[in-house]
Amino acid sequence: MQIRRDNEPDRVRRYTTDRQLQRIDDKIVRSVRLYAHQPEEIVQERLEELGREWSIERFLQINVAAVGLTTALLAVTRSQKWGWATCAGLGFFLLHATDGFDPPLPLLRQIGIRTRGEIDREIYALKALRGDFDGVEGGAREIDVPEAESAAQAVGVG
Amino acid sequence: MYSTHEHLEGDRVRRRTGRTAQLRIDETTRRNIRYYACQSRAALDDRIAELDRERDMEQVLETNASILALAGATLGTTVNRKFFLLTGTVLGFLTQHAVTGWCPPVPLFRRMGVRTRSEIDQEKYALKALRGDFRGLRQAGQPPRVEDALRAVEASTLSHANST
Repeated sequence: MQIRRDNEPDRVRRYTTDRQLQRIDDKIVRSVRLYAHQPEEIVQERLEELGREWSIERFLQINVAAVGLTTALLAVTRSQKWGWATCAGLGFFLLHATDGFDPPLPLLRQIGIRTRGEIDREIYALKALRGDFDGVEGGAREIDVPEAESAAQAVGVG
Repeated sequence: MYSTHEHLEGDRVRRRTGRTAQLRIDETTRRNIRYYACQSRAALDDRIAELDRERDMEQVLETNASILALAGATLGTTVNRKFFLLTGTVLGFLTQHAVTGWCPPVPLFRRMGVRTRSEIDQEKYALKALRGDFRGLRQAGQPPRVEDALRAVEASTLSHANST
């Protein structure tokens, strides 16, 4: 059983084992190393693909809906006691929503399903290497309006 | 010139958000970027940590859905099976949300300004760039500095003790 990482803001990473985290982070490293040297169109395609990648939240939502609907149906048609199974599934999902843990989480992490934050780390490493942030020197001065505009543009709200 | 927001096109919640609500959310992100561009490094650090903790759309929706569905299931088990109708409806909508990115409470939360993780990360990475995290990755005549880019996007808290 994985203990809780108290300082981790990403609630899924909070309950992911060291080995699984290492593997997920290594995958980002490998992918960025590979795509950093690819032509622009390939990087572009990769970014679109990453944008469409299913985050772990969607898997967990479908999972709880499947479990909840099945047991609720059994509770209505067979024995009302099935309702306790519905309650348990939904209780865990509430725990996931607020703190992070959910029973299917270890399995999904084992097969490498990522959080949106993890996918975004890969996205922004590729964007930076492609030169999206070239107009932003950053760090040197305190006030810089044109740089703020470049940064906004680079992330897509410009 | 390539597009700079192709990575957002897969965000289904964005695609299904009304124009006014979407403009307002993007305007908020833009305003925050402009504001923090003029702040000290410490303020940027704090803001980036705060963004990592910001409650995103999935979390808000999941909390909301699980409370309603759980209330229905509890009442359905202890009082009257008809309450399972509430559980069924909510879970049906949750499935719809997972697949299409839309369900009835989404427009309400969007109007309240709840952002998706992709939108929060837009602000986060713009601020990281302004902090100088991506500085010097590309220099004329040299290969891109891949390892520096990777370091710049490392998880904010170093979670694994055995990381290199």
